[in-house]
Amino acid sequence: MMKNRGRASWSQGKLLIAGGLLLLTASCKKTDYLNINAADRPALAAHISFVNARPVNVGIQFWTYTTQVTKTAVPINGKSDYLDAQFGDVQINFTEGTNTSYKASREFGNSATFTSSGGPNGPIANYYHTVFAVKNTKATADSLILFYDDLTAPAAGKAKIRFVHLAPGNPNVDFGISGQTTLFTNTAYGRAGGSILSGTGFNTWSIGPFVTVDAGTVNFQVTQNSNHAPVSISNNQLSSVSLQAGKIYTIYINDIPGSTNVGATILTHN
Amino acid sequence: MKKIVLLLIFFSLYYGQNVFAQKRTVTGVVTSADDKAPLPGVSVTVKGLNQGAVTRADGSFEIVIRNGKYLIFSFVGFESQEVEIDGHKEFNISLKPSGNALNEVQIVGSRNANRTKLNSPVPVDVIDIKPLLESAPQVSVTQILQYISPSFHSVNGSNAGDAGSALSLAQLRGLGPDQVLVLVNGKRRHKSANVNYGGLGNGSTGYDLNSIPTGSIDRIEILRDGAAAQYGSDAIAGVINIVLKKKTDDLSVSSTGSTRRRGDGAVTRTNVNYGVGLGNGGYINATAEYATQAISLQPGNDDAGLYNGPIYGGGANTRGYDAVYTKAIDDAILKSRGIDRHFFDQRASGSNAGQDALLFFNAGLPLKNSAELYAFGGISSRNSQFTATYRLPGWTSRNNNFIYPDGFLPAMENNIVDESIAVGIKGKVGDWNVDFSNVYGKNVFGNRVDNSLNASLGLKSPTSFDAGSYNASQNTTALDFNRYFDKILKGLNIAFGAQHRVEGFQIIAGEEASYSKADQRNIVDIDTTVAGIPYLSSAGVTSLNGLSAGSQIHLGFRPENAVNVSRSVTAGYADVELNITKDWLISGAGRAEYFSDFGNVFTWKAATRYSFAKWLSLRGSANTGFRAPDLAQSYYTSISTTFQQGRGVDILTASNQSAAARALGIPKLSPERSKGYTLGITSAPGSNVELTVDAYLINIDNRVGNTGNFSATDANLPQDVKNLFQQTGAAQANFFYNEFSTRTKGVEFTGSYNVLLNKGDIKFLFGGNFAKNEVTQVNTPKGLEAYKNVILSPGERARVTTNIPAQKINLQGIYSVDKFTFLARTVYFGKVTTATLLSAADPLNPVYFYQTLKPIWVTDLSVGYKFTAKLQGTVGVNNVFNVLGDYSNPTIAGLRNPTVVGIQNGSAGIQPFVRLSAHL
Repeated sequence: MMKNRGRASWSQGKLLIAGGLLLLTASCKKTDYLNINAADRPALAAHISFVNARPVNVGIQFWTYTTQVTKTAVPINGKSDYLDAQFGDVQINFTEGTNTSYKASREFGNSATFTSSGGPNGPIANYYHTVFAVKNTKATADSLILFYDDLTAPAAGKAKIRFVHLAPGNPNVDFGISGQTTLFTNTAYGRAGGSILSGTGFNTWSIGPFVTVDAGTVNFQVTQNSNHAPVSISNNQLSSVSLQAGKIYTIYINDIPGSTNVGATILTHN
Repeated sequence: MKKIVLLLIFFSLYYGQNVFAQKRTVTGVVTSADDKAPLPGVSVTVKGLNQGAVTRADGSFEIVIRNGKYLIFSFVGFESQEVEIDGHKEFNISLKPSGNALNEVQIVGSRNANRTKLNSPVPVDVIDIKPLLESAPQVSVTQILQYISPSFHSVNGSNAGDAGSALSLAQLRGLGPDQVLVLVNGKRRHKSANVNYGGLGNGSTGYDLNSIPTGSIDRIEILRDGAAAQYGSDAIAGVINIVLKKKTDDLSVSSTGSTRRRGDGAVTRTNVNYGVGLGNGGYINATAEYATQAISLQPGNDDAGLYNGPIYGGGANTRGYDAVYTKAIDDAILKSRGIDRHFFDQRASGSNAGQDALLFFNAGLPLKNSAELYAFGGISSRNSQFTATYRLPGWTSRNNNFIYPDGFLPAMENNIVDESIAVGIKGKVGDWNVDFSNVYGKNVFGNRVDNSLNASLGLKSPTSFDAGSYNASQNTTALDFNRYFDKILKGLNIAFGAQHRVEGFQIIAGEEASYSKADQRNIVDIDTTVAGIPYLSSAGVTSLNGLSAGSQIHLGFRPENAVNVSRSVTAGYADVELNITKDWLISGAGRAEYFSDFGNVFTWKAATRYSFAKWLSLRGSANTGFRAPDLAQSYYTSISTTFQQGRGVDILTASNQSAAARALGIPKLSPERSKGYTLGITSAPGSNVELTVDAYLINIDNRVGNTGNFSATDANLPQDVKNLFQQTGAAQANFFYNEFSTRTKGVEFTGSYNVLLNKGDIKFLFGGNFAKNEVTQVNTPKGLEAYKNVILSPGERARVTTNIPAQKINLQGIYSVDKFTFLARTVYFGKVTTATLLSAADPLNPVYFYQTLKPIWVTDLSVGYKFTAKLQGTVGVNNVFNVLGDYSNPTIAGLRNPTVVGIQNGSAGIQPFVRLSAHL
């Protein structure tokens, strides 16, 4: 009697189990993507070269939110390599030397438009960026500014250049190569030459656009837009500059510690 | 149209089998051996066959017999009787009250053991759960009731937010899940420790019916009337009594599996029930149950809920594409990652992935002198995984893309353990029935957070967190006396007793990373723009350095949130039920309770019933009731993230005990008070037909709720409140408060019609509830009169008035013939109106968007087949016409495609099922 009961329950049990399994297997695949280990995805990052354009002779460290990104302090007018950084809505900060308090913080990406609080947008995954730590027109204040770097190679025999005005208190300037047409006109402090920040033509690359020039040795000239008077560049940094074919450059002007002169720095992106 | 065709098929099956066999008709009358009164509703069946009848109001019956040797007469509360047919044509049967006829609550709402649902002065539904477990698609207690009881609404899944979605709480008449009392075998059940947050039942705890295995339940009685005077706190909208199985010598196994349209959201539930006799009429019946719920896709069309906005850019989750961050950029990144937009889908709410394991038992052991030792209880452990809003990769204040390059879907893993044990002894002392019992119950609610991070910890953040736990316990000791005086008028039942209850509530803190606000260095914030570059000035400590703190989806409890509190409740009651004449019953009850935290409460109840004729009885009742604020409501505090127009806002649910609550002028919580009235008719107009119609009115004063959110930016708030924001980092805060009063009125009707056919039988059930809930008053602390819409926000007002279908109709037929059982059922869920916050720019008058969701009919079909006497298979479909209800309005859908709102029944569309049940 007991044996019979046992057999009956086993075969009926098998039926139950088979029915259950059928349903379970049917349901597995479709929803797998809603149950992934999100930490187990290939890495993705923005690439940022951090530049110390402050007229203060102290190396600085850059941070995204609470994570220090630069491993060694970036000296005055120095730059880091392109470092992997967070993308999206990103707060970028910098600290002086080994000091841990932020000298400046700015959140990029929390606004759709190019505004004081959030312009223009954050670092973009897989894109290359240059972030400048700068001095503001107000004597004690620092700030940060971000440009997207279009690193597509220039045509054969050509180089690409961009100009950025980071010298507070100086008027709008024109920038060009001596003896040639002006490359960028009427560039205000805090702007890249030829930038478009709103309306038609406003896009990722229009904030800090590059122009293509012939490779070779050139003399750059910076003039005041209002009266075309030359702006003297300390140590003639912009004279006899060798532009190599295929290279991409950013040239910026800024203040010099303890001086009223304007300095200039040439960054090579590749 | 499709519905009509299916119903036609159903009825053609019913009429098409009139194959007449050799037959004869026998008749008879069934009476009670006690008082010789006719017994209506007694089941008369031919042994071994499906054929059966039910006695009429006068106890008479008629049954057609083709073959079979014995008739079985059975009725709740009476001993079954088996009689040989042997050529007799008429049977006069006298049934003896069952067992030792002690104070067993046969019908909730009366302490008279012989009360039946039709002769009760108050409305009671008795739901025999066994045929539904065989034929209906639903497998959990709450979903079974949701589809069969018109007043019942289950807060599960999409209806409740966060941890509340792990539970299936019960609501009656649209009132709160804490305004209905749940009993098991007539004894108070313990509540869940969880305080619902967001969704229905916001700010309230409740009884979690799904902690009891369905396989252990014999029937469920729903008293649709206030009964605090009989049972104490919570019994405002009604009382649900779960009666456990006593069956012996039967081992039954049942397994059900169902799946949604695309093979997602599979549900399985398997139970084993076994009962053994324990000498001399004793029994032990035990159930083991295991259930699973798989992850579900968004119901509706394949692109429902698909995210359309920026994914990897700075606008992720908050705004659309712009000139800098274009869709083309996102598409290129997606392509390089080998994924598409569906990668960022969110799971369907209302069906948390999970597993349930439950054990329950019910036992009685006869002792000398007709006394009985009884015990019941069980333990269950359930896991539920709630996932919330996808943290998109570009949303860097919440995501760290070095940890989660493609963002993450945080999961709250709740491990819910319920344990309960009731032990009692009942017997006779003189002519009095005495019941002495002790019932202990505890709910432990563990919070683990997985696949998440504490963004403020940066790369140091763990991805899994112990976010703490909370638990609630209850121990009730009761001594009850009951006696029936048959010589006083037409019978008098007197019951009285005393109870002592100790309730506890505890919060245990989580690990530090689950709540910590890391790195609060001064950051410098934007002041103004000068000549192109923003000028920056120190802004001091900016909340959380811009990063969200604590484990996302659910912040852990901080050590200072940890509490371990208890209170005691002492109660005495008396309950009298008198049959003045054969046709006129009056009853009254009074109960006094003392709560150690807030003092005395007295409630009373009076009810009467008069029978004019067999087809018409009138009944009515009036009662006062109350609901004591739960310890959890007095001491709970936590931070959750709510998404307002796509932006995550950390909101503090502040303790009612906090200095901030006092500073706002919010007093300590006090009991909610209610007054309830019912007036109805019952009728048994014909053979096997029962009808009831009851109107009701319930006024509840000073209901405890969660206020809406006070904002950290509101300069007018007291300093203690501002301090609270600074300490916690929350941007908004709400408080528990006796904040509003409501009026609930409506009409409920139920009916049943059992038809015995020449072959087989058919049982029709129908019911409906038409209710209206309205807010009659909003309380405001002194000086905060202008905050009326903050204290009871339009969203919360909608939850307590229009979020639950005010109209519900259930129609069901079960047709049994030969080896087949067919079920056809349709349930009407009336329209509901939701309110969604659009703008809180003016915090005192937030702007809401109202959406009215059209009514839906959800239809179930099933067919069962008995392969052998011991093995039955059932296949069927829940929501056969795939009725989903309305999608969310695009105005409030944000950057995602609209989704099916689904709050009317939590339905996920068409859901076929298979079931095998065996009696071994």
